[in-house]
Amino acid sequence: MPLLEVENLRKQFGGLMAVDDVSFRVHRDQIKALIGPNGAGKTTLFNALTGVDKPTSGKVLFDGADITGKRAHEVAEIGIARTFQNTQIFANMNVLENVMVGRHCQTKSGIFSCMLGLPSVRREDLESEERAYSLLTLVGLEKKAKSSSDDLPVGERHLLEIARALATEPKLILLDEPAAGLNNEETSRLSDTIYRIRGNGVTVLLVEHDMGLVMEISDEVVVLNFGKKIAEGPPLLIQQDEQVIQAYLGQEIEHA
Amino acid sequence: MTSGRRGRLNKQWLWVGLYALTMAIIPNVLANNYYMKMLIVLAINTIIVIGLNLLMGYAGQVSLGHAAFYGIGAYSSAIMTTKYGMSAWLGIVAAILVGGLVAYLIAIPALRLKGHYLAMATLGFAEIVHILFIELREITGGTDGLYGVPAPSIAGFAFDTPQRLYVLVWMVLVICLVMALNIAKSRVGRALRAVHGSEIAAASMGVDTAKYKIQVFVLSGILACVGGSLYASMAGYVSSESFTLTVSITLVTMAVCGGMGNVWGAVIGASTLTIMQEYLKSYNDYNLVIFGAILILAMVFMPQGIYGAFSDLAKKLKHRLQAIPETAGEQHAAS
Repeated sequence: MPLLEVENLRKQFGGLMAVDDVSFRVHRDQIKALIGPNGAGKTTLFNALTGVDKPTSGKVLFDGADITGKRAHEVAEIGIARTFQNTQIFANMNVLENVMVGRHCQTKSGIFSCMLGLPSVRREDLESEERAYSLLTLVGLEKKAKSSSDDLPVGERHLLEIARALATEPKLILLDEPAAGLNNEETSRLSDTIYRIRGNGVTVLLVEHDMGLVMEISDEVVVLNFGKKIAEGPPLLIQQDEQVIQAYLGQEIEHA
Repeated sequence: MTSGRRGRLNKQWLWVGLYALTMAIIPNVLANNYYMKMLIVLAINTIIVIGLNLLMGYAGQVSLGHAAFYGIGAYSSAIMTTKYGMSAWLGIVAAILVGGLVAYLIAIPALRLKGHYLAMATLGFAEIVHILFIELREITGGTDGLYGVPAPSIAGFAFDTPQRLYVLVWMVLVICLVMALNIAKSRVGRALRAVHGSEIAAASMGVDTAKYKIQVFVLSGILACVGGSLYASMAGYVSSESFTLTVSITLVTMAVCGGMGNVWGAVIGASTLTIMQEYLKSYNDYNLVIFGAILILAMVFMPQGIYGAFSDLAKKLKHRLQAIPETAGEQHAAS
């Protein structure tokens, strides 16, 4: 059984069909990439999968269960975590606290026990802190744990978001352009990190424009253009696909 | 890292102890009714602003209507004690229940709104409540208000003088402060700050944003009601004039000037501005103008509030002090 099944998903904004009848599957322990020219509907698809937006029609199955139309926090609890293309760091917290927010799903203390400062709350807090710290080590941000998150450069914000998403202990992580703002060296470190994430048993679905990275790390690639899926398959085949080449080159000509 | 965190927590409780002690000593120095009443008002304002700061500073939800909860607390206490002959304690319990319920019912629709719209909604709510205080004459006494609110008492000991009531208010304040500090550093506190930082990211981390917004709104409403209830006991009467828009704005000014997103900011803001307000009383009509000016100046020059400005200053001083021995050492080495 695939981990994630997207069936005939549609998302319409007014007259615009941003995601048009898209179906694909993500299998356990895969690294799958979602590519396509700007405006192809990749982020919209992510939003529809994670409950940020409700899909207009279609189905999303996760681990065999229908999760279509669930709210964002419920999707997180079920085991899908995500990062954001335009990073959504909690600027009012330090780096470590940002990751600790990711532990929210894994902890239970309610407002009353927190108010009373019960020992169980403190225990949970220490556990969260330790887990958050080890996740910061995973992405290489442990030295900045106590820094203000607002001071991080763009590349490190993406890394922080990855650590924060992993803190929810997901089965599937959706990365939205994690290499944006990274230099070559940082990108190669990112690919190591993504391999390590998969090594820890987390399936990866990523949107990315850095084709070098996509072709290097993905097991399979889905290509979207104008909201429609135009190709799916292993990276080598995708690179030779007529329609894919046309979608990308066509866009280049328009730009020029 | 673990021990570092423990150390920080201990330091926080040290501050609480110091604050509680200071507040306990002051009445012995300023032992007259005028100052005692001012201190009670100061403590009540602090209780309310602590709640408002959790709502605005932590969760980022603006309320321009907290005078309504302040009033609901005061009137609930007054009505229960004067009309139904309940004890002042039951009055406080009634204030908490009524206030919590009203806050909950308001929160469900209001917190769907964001930013300015939420501010307008709470403003409208407070105006409606204020009109009800005046118009529901049968229950609230209309423009005359309600008289003869008793002071709470335990086993024959009545908190009926300003000195005695101060002890009670001071204890309630310390309890509220400790609870707020506990929430602030907990999972729930982080969830509230996450809602403020980015609602969409908070939800994607599993934070039920609607639930936490409602919870913190109800909590801040309840704290304002507790304040109102204590106020009714102090004054012995309640009237609608005490719960106007001006009061809502004053409370927000205290929260902003003290420093949002830090519990101590609420303590500092409420204390500073309550004292200032007392000395500005002689400029009766200009009171609000002066408060508005303070709010604007604070936003421009101290966006992090008094607490933020001082903690920045303290950090800079610390850096300087750490730098001095180093440079001195270098000079030694050079010579």
